[in-house]
Amino acid sequence: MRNVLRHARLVLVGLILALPSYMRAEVSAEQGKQLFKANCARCHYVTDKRFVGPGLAGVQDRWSDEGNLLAWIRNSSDYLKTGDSYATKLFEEYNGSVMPAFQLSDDEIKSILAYIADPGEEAAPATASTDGAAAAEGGQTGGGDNTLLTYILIGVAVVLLILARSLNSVSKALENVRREKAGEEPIQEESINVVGKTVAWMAKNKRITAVIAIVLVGALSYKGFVALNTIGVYEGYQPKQPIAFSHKLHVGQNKIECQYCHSTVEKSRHANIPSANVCMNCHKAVQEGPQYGKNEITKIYAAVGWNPEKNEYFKDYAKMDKEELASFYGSYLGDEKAAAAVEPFIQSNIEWVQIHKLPDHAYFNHAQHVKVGKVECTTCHGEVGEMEEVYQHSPLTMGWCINCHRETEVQYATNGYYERLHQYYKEHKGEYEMREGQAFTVEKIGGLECSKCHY
Amino acid sequence: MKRNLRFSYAFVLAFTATGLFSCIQTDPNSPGYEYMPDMYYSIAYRPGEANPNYADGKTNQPPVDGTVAQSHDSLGMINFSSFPYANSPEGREKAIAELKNPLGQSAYHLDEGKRLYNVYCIACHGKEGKGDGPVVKVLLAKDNYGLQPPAYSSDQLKGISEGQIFYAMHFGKGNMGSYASQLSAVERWQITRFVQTLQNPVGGSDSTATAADTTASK
Repeated sequence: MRNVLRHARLVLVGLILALPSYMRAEVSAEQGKQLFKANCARCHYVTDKRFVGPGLAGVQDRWSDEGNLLAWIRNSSDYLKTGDSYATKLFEEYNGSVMPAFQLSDDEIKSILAYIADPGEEAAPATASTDGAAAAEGGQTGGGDNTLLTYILIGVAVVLLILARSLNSVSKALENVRREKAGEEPIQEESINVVGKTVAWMAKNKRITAVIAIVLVGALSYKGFVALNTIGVYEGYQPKQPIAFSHKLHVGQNKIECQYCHSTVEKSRHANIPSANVCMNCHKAVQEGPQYGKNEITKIYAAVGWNPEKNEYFKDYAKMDKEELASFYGSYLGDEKAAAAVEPFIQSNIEWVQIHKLPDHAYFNHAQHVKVGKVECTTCHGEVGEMEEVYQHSPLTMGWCINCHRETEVQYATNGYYERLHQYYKEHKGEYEMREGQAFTVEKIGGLECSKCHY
Repeated sequence: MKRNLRFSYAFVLAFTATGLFSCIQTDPNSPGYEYMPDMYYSIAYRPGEANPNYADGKTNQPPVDGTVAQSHDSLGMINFSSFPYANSPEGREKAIAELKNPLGQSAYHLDEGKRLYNVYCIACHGKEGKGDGPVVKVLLAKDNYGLQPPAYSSDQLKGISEGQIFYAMHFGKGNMGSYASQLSAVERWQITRFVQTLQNPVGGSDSTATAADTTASK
């Protein structure tokens, strides 16, 4: 009987203790999670980290009255009109931006708050595995060390050779001194007349000499011819870029259009390298990559002055102390090597290395080819979406240009640009080379004229 | 027999020698040899090149404040430097109320808008403006909601005015950056025209569907 009573008491205590959580269960944290993802996650983290809006950890402690908090979440612009001091402070801190109004019930908002109060494990900000990156980098530095090792070994070998020779001559000299004292003949230097011997051998084996000479001359002139042909042709040129930007990831996997970043190809002679603000369109929110983690993206932050811990731009970045910034980004990265790599980018420009480059005496216009000619980017640049690091796909020689101009047909029918020209040809049928059924190639509209590209 | 052997030795020797010549390693960071470098490099600075004559070291300098671009804004439209609305809540309210699309109703602008949308917006907003673009999908798989926009047809966005759409492209909104550096005013208005067709899809799809719904069902 006593036992039963004790059990009952335990159960009762347990029930009372569990009661708050049961009451919470009505406003379920699970439902809150879904609502949070649908409505809040674009601008807020559940941690204390700032995003577009403030981090929400401990938000209930910051608001003394829950009713006010609910009203603020439901319609922040309306709530601001009450003149609440904390709300006004927030409004000013976030440069006068308000939350959109939400049509959520009290229970739904409470669910969200319950989720924020106990987000569980998976709510930690997304972090990609950086193991792969570390391995990749390890491999790279390994390669670098190997070449260094080779040089060191060669150096050691050379030093040893010199040492051996000098020791040899020293011992010879000592022996000669001994022989001189003893009144003996000094050692005769063996005359190794390589040239004389070779000439003698060649005179003896004329046929073999002739064969060697013919093969050597033939092979070397072929090699020389090939080598001369590569002068000024940079096909396959793949320089190391300041940031390990992967076109394979951005274009191949994420399916971002070429023109999103290289936006001037349609409007200008040049295909631009995007300015860093275009990078920041996505990288405000994407702070870690799958391959290099934070290391490469932080280089952009260092160049533009983005504070990834508070998710805002530094004020007066250009006037800030460089060393302080270096230690800030260093502690953000938590890796000395990566920090050293980021340091040169602080308050400076990202100096990408130009790969495709025509000589100054050749004129090329991107807009004409992309907008008017409707040439695909991949026609000249290759499958960039499969290139980890971009290399020059085409030779960009004059012969290559001319060949394409001979073969490519002008898409005049779908292209308002050539409407009048085409009309003219039609009206003067017979007077000109152009005939119906004949391919209307770039050559036909002057694509082979010297002055089209050289003037 | 012996002579043949010696001949083959001779061949081996000759080929080894030429092989050694071709073994000279090429440095990937060097483009190679140039023929008459004088004709390759102009004295003038090329765009995008480092330039010691400017304090910030860039050849590409922004136009002077108040510059009106002639080529792209030939319709006499606002461009970045003379946009008459401030990047503030008041400026936004004013822009939403006053900004009107100066382009006519021609199908050309709608087509251009769609083409540009498929270049500049589709990565996040998705083909039908449901907030399910390829970049968003990649990020959602990693529990990163940072770039997921609401659907244009959601309650939050289906009613917004053309001025508000344009203003968002001009100054950015939330995590969306400003597109004024990539798109001219005309192009932004063309995209606005296309986005309006996504706010109320003709197909009459469920307009209350939010971005989260569409992604959850995938």
